[in-house]
Amino acid sequence: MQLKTSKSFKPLIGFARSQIHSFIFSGLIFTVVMVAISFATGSNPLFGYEVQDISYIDTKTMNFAIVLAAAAFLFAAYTFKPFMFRNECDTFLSLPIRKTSLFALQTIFGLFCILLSCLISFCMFYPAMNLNRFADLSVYATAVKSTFCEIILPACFYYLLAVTLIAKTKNFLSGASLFAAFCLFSFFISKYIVANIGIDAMGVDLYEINAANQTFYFNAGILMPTKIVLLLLRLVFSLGSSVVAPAVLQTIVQICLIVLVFAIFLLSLKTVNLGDFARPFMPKPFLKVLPFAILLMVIPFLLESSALFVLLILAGVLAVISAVLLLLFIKQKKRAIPLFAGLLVLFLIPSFIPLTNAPYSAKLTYEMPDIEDIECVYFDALQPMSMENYDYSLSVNRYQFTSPDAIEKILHLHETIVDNMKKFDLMGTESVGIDSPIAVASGGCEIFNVDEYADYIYSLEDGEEEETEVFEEKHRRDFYVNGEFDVEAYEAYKQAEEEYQIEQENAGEWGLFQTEDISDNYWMYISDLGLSIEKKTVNDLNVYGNDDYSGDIVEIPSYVARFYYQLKDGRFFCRIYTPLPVSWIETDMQAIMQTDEYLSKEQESAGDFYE
Amino acid sequence: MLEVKNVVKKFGNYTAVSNMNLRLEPGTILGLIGSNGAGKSTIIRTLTGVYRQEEGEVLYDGQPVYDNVDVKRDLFYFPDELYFAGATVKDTANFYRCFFPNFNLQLFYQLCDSFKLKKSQPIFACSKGMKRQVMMNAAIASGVKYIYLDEAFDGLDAVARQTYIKLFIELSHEKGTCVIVATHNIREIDHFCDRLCLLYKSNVIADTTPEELLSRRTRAIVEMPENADLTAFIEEHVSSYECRNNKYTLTFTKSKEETKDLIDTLHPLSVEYVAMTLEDAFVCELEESGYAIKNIEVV
Repeated sequence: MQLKTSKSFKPLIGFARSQIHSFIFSGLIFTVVMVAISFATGSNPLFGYEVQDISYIDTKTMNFAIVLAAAAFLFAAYTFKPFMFRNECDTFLSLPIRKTSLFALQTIFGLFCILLSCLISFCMFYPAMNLNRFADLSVYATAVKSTFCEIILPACFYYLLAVTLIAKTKNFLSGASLFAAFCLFSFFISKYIVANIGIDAMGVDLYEINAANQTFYFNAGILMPTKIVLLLLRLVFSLGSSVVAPAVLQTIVQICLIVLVFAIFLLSLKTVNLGDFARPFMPKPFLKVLPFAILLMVIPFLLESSALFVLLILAGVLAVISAVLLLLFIKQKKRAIPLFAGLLVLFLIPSFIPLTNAPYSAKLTYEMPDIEDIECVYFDALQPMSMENYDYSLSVNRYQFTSPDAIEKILHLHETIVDNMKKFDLMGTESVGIDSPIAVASGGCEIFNVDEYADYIYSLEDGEEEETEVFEEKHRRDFYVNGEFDVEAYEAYKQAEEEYQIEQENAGEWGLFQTEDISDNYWMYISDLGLSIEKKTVNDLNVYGNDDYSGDIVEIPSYVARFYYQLKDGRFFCRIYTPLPVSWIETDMQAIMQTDEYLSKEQESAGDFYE
Repeated sequence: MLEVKNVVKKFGNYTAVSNMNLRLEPGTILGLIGSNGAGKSTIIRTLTGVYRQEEGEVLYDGQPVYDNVDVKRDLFYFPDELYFAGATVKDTANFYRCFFPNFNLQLFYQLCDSFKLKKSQPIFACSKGMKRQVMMNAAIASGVKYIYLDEAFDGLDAVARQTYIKLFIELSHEKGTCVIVATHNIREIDHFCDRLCLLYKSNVIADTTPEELLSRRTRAIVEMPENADLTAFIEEHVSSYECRNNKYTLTFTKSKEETKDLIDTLHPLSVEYVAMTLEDAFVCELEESGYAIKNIEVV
């Protein structure tokens, strides 16, 4: 018995040992290349972040986290090398080791590395911001999604590219060098395009631009060449936007992109000849479905929709996993095919449901408002990753007018507002640079020190100010009874609220976010949770040059800062400023939007109040 | 014993191996020779269980090879494109030791010493020929019953090639090891194989011994009088010919005795019978099967 065990495990050990060797070697090379490029360009070409500008978290931590995570994923991807190269494939398949064991071992290797990578990114990204957020389960979902979007998929794309180059050059070092050169080239080309051709014309949904220092974030980190093609396509199509409706144009562009990426993917598959060499490992149906499964993961990138993103990725991943499981456990091909098809369909059906239901999947073109047109700017520096703040943001948003359309706009950043925000952070309203009042909402009042320079403070906490007149602010959740929204109770509440507002206005007091009452140099500040409103006047606005503030103030938008612009014509825009990947914010905003759904509908029904 | 019964291997619509049959007794050295793309490597991959055939059976002592660990313990595959799992010569030995229970490490190192290969020598620092030597040593030391060599001698110098051929012959004679060699270079395996499979366009066009293959044809250099017209004779009896200054090199698909009678009918000025090489015979076989590259002019 002992002899038999040793006999069956020895090949596995031999195989594992042989893989670890190349695994570490290749991983080291990739890591070195990436770190070198990272330092050389001041950014990370793998993910495209201009990490130097991320001042709110530890830049070095993030940089290394990205590089390490990328390396880990490359390791993971590299474990599948035996499936890619003919000589390895031949050698391993001829050895006395079961194919299923071989495949399982490779998968275990890959999964281990993926887990390792997740761990690295979790441990390095998240503590840099706020550990408390881990108390909230939704944070995990966000984190998983972000990790997947920002690390796994880009790494896989890059891996495909790297493997293709290595396979083509038939030499690891040559391939790796070409890969590195390609990354650099793409990086500079992208930068050139962004800097010279223009941003708005191309609809830079995934870019965050800081024109002041000419840096940019390559947000989702998908293949830069794909990104370039995407941008060029958009540029081309934007020329025809005068004759074609934007929505149609978007659709055409997206279809073109999907076809393009699919073609690229198939081409890469052909290059590495996976079809031929993997055939002994994989049943034909799996091979046929594999490109589609991966395509499923690609589409959301192109559609840039978070809901689709998660679900389609999930569908793709599950399809692949199910195929592998089938391969491992079901040897009866005739049964495996329909079962696989059934599973795939099963995974696909739910993934398409959000297509019709998710309002934020809509894409809109937009134009930034001129600064002169801005009536008022609301700045919401909430830390919305906690559920309390979601609820709170709900109460704020009820007055700050976000809408489904605003989700698109949230993804864009206007350099002027960034400038203003910076000035705002450090200098107060005197130096804001626009003659607009600014309203600030923040849960972090103690670090913001707003009360020292705000004209009015509205606190939703049970204030210490005795004279504060209180209107009982109810949360939306209060109107839910057994999971159903109590319309009557809500209507009654709204009625009471309106009466209260009118009463306040008649009394010469402020209504909450009644913008007509906010005149120049007024700061409105809403502090943390609470049911009362307090008013406080602070005359001394001059915090400029006060070092005591600057340190804290930098901390304010540690995660996200939102701007809402009310224009003079009544339209509203919502924008977001963040040093972090957009997809993170997207998820966050989705959560906000979900809680605000009823408001959105109400706003829509109110006519053209929101764009 | 290896039995290949009606094996068909397809890649999509392309048939790489068509209805192959083979029976190999222990101790046989089989040469798979064929033109480029004839299906030599595909056959080897099918016989070693890398590929699964679409039709037919590949059996070793009655057991199918595909995904059969027990059978594969007795097979060593020397691929056309080498893959080294380890970084050094020693690592390579350790790698194969894990898979082949009868791997003779001592023999491996002994062979390495003979070929001046150091244990600690990095594989990447080895030349093409040296890499092949490492793999050849592994194949010989593996202790398996069947060794498959796919273009294995390509890149080896003449001394090394001859040495390995001797070693393989010794293995087959003394231990009954079957050696299956795929190559397009027949000179490499001259005097090595005791059986030949000639492949052309996915088909086995001949399964024979080298001796039989050579005896099938006779080549003679015939000197003819000026203005002699051999057109009709060549068309009727000759499989290939060449003419220089009234000297015809004629190849017949006949035995020497039969050829002699035929040539006598021409009344030549002189006749010289030339010994054919295996390569000549192979070329003739292929030409007869329709594989010929003609009508190419350099100038």
